[in-house]
Amino acid sequence: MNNKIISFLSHRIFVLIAMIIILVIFVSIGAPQFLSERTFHNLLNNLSILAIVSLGQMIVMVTAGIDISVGTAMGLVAMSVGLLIIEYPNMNPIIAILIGMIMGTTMGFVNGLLVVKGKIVALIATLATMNIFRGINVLINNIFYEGQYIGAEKLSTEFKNITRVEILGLPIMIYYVLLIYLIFYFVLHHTRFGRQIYASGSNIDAANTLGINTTKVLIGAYSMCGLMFGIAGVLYLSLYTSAQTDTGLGFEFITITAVIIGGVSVFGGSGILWGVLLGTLFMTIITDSLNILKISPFWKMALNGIMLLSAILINHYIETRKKK
Amino acid sequence: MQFPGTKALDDVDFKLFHNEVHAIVGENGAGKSTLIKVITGVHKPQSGKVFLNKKLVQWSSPIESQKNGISAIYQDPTLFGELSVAENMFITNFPEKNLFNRIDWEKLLAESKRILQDLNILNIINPLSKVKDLSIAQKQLVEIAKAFTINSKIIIMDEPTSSLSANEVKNLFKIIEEIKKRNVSIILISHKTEDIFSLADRVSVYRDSKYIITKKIEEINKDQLISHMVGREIKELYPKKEVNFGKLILEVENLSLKNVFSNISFNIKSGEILGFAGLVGSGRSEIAETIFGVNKPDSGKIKIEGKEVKINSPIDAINLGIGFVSENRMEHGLITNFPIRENIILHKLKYFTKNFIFKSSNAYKTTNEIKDQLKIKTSDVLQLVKFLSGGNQQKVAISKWLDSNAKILVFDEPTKGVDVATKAAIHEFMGELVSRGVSVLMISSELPEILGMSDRVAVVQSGKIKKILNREDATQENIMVEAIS
Repeated sequence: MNNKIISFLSHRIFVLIAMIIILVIFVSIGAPQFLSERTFHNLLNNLSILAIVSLGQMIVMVTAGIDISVGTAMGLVAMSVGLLIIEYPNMNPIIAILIGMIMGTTMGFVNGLLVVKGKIVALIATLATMNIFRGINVLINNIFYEGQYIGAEKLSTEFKNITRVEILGLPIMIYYVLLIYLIFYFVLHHTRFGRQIYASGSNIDAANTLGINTTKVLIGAYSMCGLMFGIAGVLYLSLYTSAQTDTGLGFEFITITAVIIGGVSVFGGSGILWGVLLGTLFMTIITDSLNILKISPFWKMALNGIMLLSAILINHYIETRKKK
Repeated sequence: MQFPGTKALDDVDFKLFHNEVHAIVGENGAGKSTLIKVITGVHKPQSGKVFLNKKLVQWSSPIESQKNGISAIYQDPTLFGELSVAENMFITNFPEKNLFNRIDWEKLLAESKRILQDLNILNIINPLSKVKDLSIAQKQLVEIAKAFTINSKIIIMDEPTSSLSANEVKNLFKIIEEIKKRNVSIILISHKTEDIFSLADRVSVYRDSKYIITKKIEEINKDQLISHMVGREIKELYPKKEVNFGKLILEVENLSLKNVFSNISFNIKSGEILGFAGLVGSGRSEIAETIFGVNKPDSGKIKIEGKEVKINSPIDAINLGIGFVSENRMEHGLITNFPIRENIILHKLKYFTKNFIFKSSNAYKTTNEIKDQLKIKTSDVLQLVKFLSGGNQQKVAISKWLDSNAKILVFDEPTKGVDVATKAAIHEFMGELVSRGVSVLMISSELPEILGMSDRVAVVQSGKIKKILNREDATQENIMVEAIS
C-alpha cells in the first residue's frame, strides 16, 4: 500500500498537477486578478491553441523526430485561410476548417517525406521548411493583400463564432481540445498504428526487421502533426482575428518545451498524451502570468530557454534514478 | 547478396526438413546471418531461389514470410523497451476489434498469457511488464514467445544462448526440446559447440560466404566440425605461454559498491592472467568497470605497483596504465562510422600530428602493420569499421592497446560472438601481452577459455569472490560449483 502511494506520488502526472497548483498559488499571491474569470478564459483559449500544436509535436517526438516548422506552418495556414475568406467572405466556417486541415496535413506530409524518404535529419529538414513556410507567408501576403495584416473587420461573424461560444461557462475551445485529445489518445494507445509509432521511435532497426512499415508510420506521424497545426491555424485566425507574417513565431520552442515537460523522451519511444496537455498548461500559465505580473517581456526568451533545459535535465535525472 | 566491399553470400545451399533442428555454423562473416535474412525476406538475393514446401517463394518483406509460418529470433533483440511484453509479442499482428480497428486488449492479454503458459514461463514473465524492466534472459524468452503468436512452422534462432548464463541456457534447452515436439522445424545459429551437440539433428557449415557441408550430428564430432569451419585442423586452441611472473602490479582490497559487489580483494602480478569466472549478472563486469573508473566504489583500496591510487574516471585509469576492452564493442569500443585506421590511432593522434597537421601516410603505414599483425581481414584500412564482421571489429577494438604502455589490461568477454580463428588470434595476442610483462584481468563466460588462458581463476558469485583457484586446481566442475552454489 505504502509503495503504491509513493509510486503514485512520483508519477509524472501527479508531479505536474502539483507543480501547476504551486505555480497558480504563487502567481495569484503576486497578482490576485489572475484568479478572475476573464483571465481564466483567456488562459484556456491560449492553452487550447498551444495544446493542439503540442499534440502534433508530441507524436513526431515519440518517433524520435522533431518538427520545428510547426509555428510558421500554423502561421501560413492562418494567413492562407484568412486571404481566402477575404476573397470569399461568405465561406462556410466548416469549409475553412477543412481547408486548414488539408493544408496542414499536406505540409506535414512534405516534412515526413523529407525526413523519411529524403533521409534528412528532422531538425535540419524542418528548419528548412520552417523558413520556406515563413517565406511563402510573406510572399502571398504581399501579392494578395499588399503586406497588410488581416484584422477582425475582414472576418465574418460565423467564422469568429467557431471559437467565441461558451458552453457551461467555459470557452468552446477547451472542448475542441478535449475532443482532439480523446481521439488521439485512442489512436496512440489503442490502435496498431499508434503502438507502431511508439515501437518505431523506441527501436527503428528492430521495427524494420520485424516488418513494420516504418516509412508509413513516420510519414503518418509527421502528417498527423501537420493536421494539428492545420486545425490550430484556422482556430488561431478565428480566436485572435488576426493573421500576420509573424504569426506562430516561437511556437516550435514552446511546444517542444511543453512536450518535454510532459514527459516525452527526446530519444523517442515514450510519453503520454495527458502529460503533454499538463505540460502545455504549465507553459501557458507561465507565459500568461508574466504579463499579469508585469514582468518585462525581455525576460521571456531567456526564461523559456531555462525552462527547456531544466525539463531535459530533470527527465535525465528521473531516467537515471529509475535505472538504479 | 552483396554488401559494400564483400560478397555476403556466394552460391549457397541450404535444406531444412520437417521437424528437425538444423544448426548452421561458421566463423563470423561466414554468411549465416545474411542467409537468415534472405530466408525471412529482409534481404532479396541477386540470384538463386528459396522454396517453401517445394513451392518457389519470393518475399517482398518479413511480414510475408511471417504469414507463411517463418519467424526469426535475431541476435540483436527486436524488442521495444517502452511497450509491454504482450504488446511486443503482437506488435505486427495485434488482435483488433471491428469498430475503429481498436486493439482488443482482453484478447491480447489472454493470448499472450496462453503462449507464455504453454512455454512454461508465465511464472517468470509478466505479460504486462514493460520490456525495459526485464533481464537479458527474460528478453530472450520474450523473443521466443513472439514466434508463437503466429502459427510458426519454422523458427530461426540466431545465437540464442550468447548472453545467457549456464542455468538460463539449461532452461532454454528444455524449452527448445518442448518446441520440437510441436511439429516445428528450427534453424539454430550458434558459435557454441555445446548448443549444437545437445540440440541439433543436422548441422551445416558455411565458410567465407560459401556452403561447405551438411552432416547428421551423429556423424560428426567437435574436432571435425571445427576443422570444417576453419578449413584446417586446430590443434592448439589455447596457446598458453609460459611466462615468469614479476612483481605485484594490481592489488585490490575490500572494494565494495553498494548493492552490486562487496569486499572484493585480489591481486595480479606482472605477466599473469587472472580469469574472472561466474554467471552473467554476478557483478564481474561491474568490478572491472570500477577499477577502470566507470563506477565510484563506496569503500576499499586499489593499489598499483604498491602505491594506493584514486581512480575517478577512465582517464585517470588510462593515465595509470590501465586498459579496458569492453564487452560491448559497438557502444564503447569502436566508432563504427570511422575507418579502421582512425579507430586504431584515435587515442594516440598526437604521435601522428606535426604542427597541428595529421600525417596520414605515417598513420597508414602503422595501421597496416597492426592489421597484418592481428590478421584483420579487409581490403583496405580505410574501410569503415561498420562493414567489418564482428570478429574483425573485435580485433580492431583490441588493437588500440597493442603498442600502448598499459600495465594492466582488462578484457571483458574478449571473444564473445567471434569465430574460432579470431578467437585464436585474440588469445595469441593476449599471450604476447603477458610475455611483455602486462597483467591481464579476463572476464569470460566460456569455461574452456577461462581454463585455457588463466593462471588463476577468481569465481564471482552474487557480488562476492567465492574462491580463487590456481591453474592446476581449476576444472569446469569446481568452477561451476562455486559459481552456482
